[in-house]
Amino acid sequence: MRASPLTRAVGRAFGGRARAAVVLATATLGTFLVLRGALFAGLVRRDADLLGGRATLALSRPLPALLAARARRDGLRTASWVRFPTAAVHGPRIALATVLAVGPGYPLRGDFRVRIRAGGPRVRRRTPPPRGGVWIAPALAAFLHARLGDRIDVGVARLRVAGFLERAPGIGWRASLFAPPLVMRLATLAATRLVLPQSRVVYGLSLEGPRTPLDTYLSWVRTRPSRPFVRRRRDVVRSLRRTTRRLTRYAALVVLAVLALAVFALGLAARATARRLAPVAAYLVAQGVDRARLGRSFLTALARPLLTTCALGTPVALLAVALIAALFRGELPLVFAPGPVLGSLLVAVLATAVLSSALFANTLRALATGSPAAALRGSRLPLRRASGVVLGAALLLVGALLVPDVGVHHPKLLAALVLGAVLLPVLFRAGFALLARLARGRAVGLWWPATALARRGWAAAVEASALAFALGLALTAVGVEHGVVRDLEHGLARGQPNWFLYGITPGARAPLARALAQAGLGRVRYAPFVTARLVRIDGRRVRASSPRYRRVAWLLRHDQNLSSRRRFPPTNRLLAGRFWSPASRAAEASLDRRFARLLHVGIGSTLAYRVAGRTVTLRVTSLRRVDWWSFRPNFFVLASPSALRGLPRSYLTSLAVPPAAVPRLARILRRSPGVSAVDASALLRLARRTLAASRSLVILEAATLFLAALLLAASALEESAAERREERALLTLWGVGPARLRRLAAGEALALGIAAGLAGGGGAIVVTRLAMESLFDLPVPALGWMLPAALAASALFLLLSAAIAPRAALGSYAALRALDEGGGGT
Amino acid sequence: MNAACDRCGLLRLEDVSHGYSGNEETASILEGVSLTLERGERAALLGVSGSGKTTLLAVASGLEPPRAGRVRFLDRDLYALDENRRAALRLAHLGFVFQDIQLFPLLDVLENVRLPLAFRGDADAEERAREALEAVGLARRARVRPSALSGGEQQRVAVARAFALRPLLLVADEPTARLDRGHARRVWDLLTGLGRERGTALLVATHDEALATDCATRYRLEGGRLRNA
Repeated sequence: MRASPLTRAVGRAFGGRARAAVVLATATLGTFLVLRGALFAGLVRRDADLLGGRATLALSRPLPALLAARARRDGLRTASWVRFPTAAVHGPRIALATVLAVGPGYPLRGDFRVRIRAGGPRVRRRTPPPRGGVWIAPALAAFLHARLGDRIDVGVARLRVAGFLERAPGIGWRASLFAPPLVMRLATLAATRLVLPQSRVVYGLSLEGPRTPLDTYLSWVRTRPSRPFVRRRRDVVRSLRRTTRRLTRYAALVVLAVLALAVFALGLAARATARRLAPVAAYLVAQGVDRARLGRSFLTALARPLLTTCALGTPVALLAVALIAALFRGELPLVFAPGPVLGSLLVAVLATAVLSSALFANTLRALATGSPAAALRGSRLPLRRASGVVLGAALLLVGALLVPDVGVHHPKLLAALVLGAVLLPVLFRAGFALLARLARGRAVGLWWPATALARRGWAAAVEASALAFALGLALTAVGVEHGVVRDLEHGLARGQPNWFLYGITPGARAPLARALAQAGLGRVRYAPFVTARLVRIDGRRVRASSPRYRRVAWLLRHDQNLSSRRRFPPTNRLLAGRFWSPASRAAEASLDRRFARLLHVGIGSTLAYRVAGRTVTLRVTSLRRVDWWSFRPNFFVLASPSALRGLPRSYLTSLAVPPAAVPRLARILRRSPGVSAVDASALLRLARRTLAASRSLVILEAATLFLAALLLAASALEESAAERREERALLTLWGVGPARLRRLAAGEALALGIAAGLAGGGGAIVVTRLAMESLFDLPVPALGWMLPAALAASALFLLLSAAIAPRAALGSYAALRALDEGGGGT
Repeated sequence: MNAACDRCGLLRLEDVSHGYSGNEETASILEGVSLTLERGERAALLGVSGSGKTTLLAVASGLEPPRAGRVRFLDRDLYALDENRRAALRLAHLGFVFQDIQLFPLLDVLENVRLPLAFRGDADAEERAREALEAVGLARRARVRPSALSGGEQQRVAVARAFALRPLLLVADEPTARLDRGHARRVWDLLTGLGRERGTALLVATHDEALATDCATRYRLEGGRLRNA
C-alpha cells in the first residue's frame, strides 16, 4: 500500500506551531546538553592532568620523606611539587598568581603547553622552565603587562618570563581563573624565600605506575599518621561532574522553564491537531475501523513527522551553541568533540520525541475512544485534555534529568516550578471566571473583555500563564544580576578596602604595618589566620564522604581558616545567640549561618579542630550573617581569642589603596617575601567580565523564553481562533463596526496582559527576593519597578498580537462564511 | 414493513426500544420498533426533527446498543457481538453518508474516498476510489481539497466514499438537509441510482417527503413508534 492517506493527513494536521514548539524544545535541550558536555570535557581536559600523575598525595606541611621512598620501593615513579598563591610584581603592577614549583620528573602524566617565542607556535614540554625562569599564564602576563624575556618579582627573586603557559598539569580551572598559574622549578623556589613555616602551601607528590601496586601503596598511605590527602583521577572526574552540575544549574532551570512553556504549547498544538483529525476519526470509528488500530495508526503516522521535526532542532541547537561558545570564549573551558556533541543532540531529539509523542498520544487516543454514534449525530468525538498528571510527571522527569542537584538539594524549588507551571493556568482560569461574574451588568466595554477571558477557557488561562512565566523569569534574571552588580560596586566604592594582604607571619606584622603607614596607606588591623581541619561535630567523627555533608565535602576534606576577634565584626549581623565578651575565657565559636546550616549545627553544638597536632573544641554560641561582598576579612568560623591562643598562625589584612599608590604597595611587597596580595578591583573586573558574558546569556535565555511564550500564546490564540472568528462575525452582522471590534479585541488583550503582568511581576519580586537573600546572601534591592515593567511588557505584547491578528473575519462576506462554517476552523 | 422476508432479510430490528437518561428522568426515543430490510431494498425514514431518526439509524447500524430488543444483520445478532466484531462488520458491509458530510479538510477528494478503503486493506483502493468519483461526476476534481467544493459537491464526495466500499447497506442520515433543492435532488438521484445499479440496500432518514417517494418502502417515526408512511 502507498503512503496511507491517514499518514498524510496526520502529517498535515501536525501544524506549524506544534512543529515550532518541538523544534524549540529540541534546540533548547540540545543546546544545554551539548554545552554541559563541552564544559565537562573542557574541565576534564584542563584538570585530567591536574594530578600530574595517576594519583597525588597532598598535605599542608612537608610530606614525610618515607612516603616517596616507599612509593619508589613499590615500583612507582614519583615527582614532588609545591603549590600556593602569591603576589607577582612587575614594575608598578601586582597580581595574584598560583605558583606551581615542580621537582625533577614532573609531570609524570600529561605535559606543559607553552609559547616560548612571541607569536611562535605552542609547544609541548615535559620538563619545567630553566632555573631562574618562569612560565606564566597569558592572563597573568596581561595583568602585569609582562612580555617574554621581562623580569618579574616573585618573593625576593627576580625571575625571567621564559614562556607563556597555556596548559599546566597541576593547576585546576578555578585556581587559574582567579590566580593565573606561574610555573617554576623547585630549585628556583628556594631563591624566592616564599615558603616559610607558616606559609599556606600545599606540598604534593605525584605518583605514576601500574594500578595494583598503586592501590596497595595508597591503602598503606591511608594508614599513616600524617594522613595526606589522596586524590585519584576518578576523584577528579567525579568532582568535575559535580562542578559542571553546579555551574549549569541556573541554565538548567531556565531550560526547564522553556521546556515547560514548549510542553504547554505542544499540549495545545496536540489539541489543535486532534481537532483537525476529529471529523475523520469520528467517521472512521462509525465506519467500523477498529479503535485500537485507529489509535495506533494516528501515532504511527505521527512518528515520522515528529522525529523529522525533532531533528530540525539540532541545527538550531548547534547555532545557539556556537553563539554561546563565542560569548564565553576565555571564560569557560569548552571542548567540543563530535561524539559527545552528536550523543547530546541524539538524547535531545529522543527526549523531545518521547515527551511530544506522550502528549500527542494522550490527546489522539481520545479520538479513538469516543462514541461511534457521534459522527452520525454530526458532533465531534470528545477531546480529552492532556492531563496535568502527564504534564507534571513529564516535567519532573526532565527536571530530574537536567538538574539532579536541584532535584536533590532543592526539591521544593523544583516542585514549585513544576507546580507553578501546572497550577498557574488553573488559578488563572478560576480568576477569569470570577472576573466575569464581577463584570456582569457593567458597560459592554468592561463586560466584554472580562467575559471573553472566561469564555476562552483554558486557552486564555494558558496564554496568561505563558506570559506570566516568561516575564517573571526574565525579570528575575535582570533583577538578580542588577542586585549583584550594584552590591559589588557598592563594596568597592571609593575609600572602601580594595586590597587584601595575607600570609603575614607574626614577625612580619610590625615592619609591614610601619612600611604601609610610611607609604601613606593608613593603619592596618590584622586578623589572625589559623589553618585547621574539622574532625568532630558534637563528638562524632566527621566523614566528608557522608551524604549528610555532601554539600560541604570539599571544605571538610581541606583545612579551614579560623580567625578570632574580641568584638563582633561591624559588617556582620548577629542572627542567633550572643557574641562573647572581650574577656571571655571559654572556647567559643561564631558561625556564618549558611555554613552552620550546611554542617547541620546550631547554638550549643561543638566543633573539634585539629591544629598542629592539637585538638581545639569550640562551642557554637552565635550565628552571624556575613556580608561577603564587603571586601573586608570575613570568616565562616570566628573563635574567641582564648580558644586559639598559642596556636601557629599567620595574619590577614585589607586596605584601601588608591590607583596612584599601587607602585608604593608593590615596592613594600618586594621587601616582604611570603606576603600575598589580592587586588579586589581585579576580582571586580573579573566579576564584571563574567557578568557581562552572563548578561548576554541572560538576554539569550530571555529571548528563548519569550520565543517559547510567543509560541504558547500563538497556540492558545489558535485554540480559540474559531471561537473568536465566530464572535466577530456575529458582532459584525449585528452592526458592530471594525473600529469598535478592534477596541473590544484590545480590551481583551489588555485584560489578559494585566493579569499576566501582575502574576509575572509579583512572581519575579518574590523569586528575586528569595534568590538575593538565600542564594547570594545579599541585601534585596528595590524591586518595585518590576510590576509596572511586567504590566507594560505584557500589555504591549498582547496589543501587538491583537493588532496583527488576521482581519479576514471582519468583512461581511467573511462573517457569513465564518458563521456558515460554524466556527469549525476547517 | 415486509413480513415476507424474515428469513432472507439483510437487516431486522425486533421490538427495539431506546432512550437517554437525563439527570432525573429517562427520555424514551424509540418504543417497540420493528423493521426488516432486504438486500437491494430502499427504505426512507420520515419524521420531524427530534423524532429519533438518527437514533434509529445508529441503533440499526450497530453504533448504539438499544435499551431493549434485538438488531439482526446478515442473520447475526449485532449486539451479541463484541464491539470489535461489530466494527469489522460495519467496515465490511456498511456505508455511511452523514448530514454533516464529515470530509477530512486536510486530505484531497481522492484521499478522502480512499481513506476507509485503505483501512479495510483493499489492494485496489485507489482504482475504486477513482471509479467512485467518476460515478458521482467528480473525477476531475480528485486532487482538490473539500473546502474548494460546494456543499452539493462535498456531499457527492461523501456518496462516492460510501459506495466505493461496495456496501450491502448504505445508511444515510438527512444527506440532503443542508443542500438547496437542485443539489439535493442530484445527490438523492445519485444515492438511489447507485444503490439500484449496485444492488445496495438503502436506509435513508429524511424529512423531505418529495424525495422519499423514490423509495419503495417508507416509514414514519412519530412519538418513538414506527409505522408505514
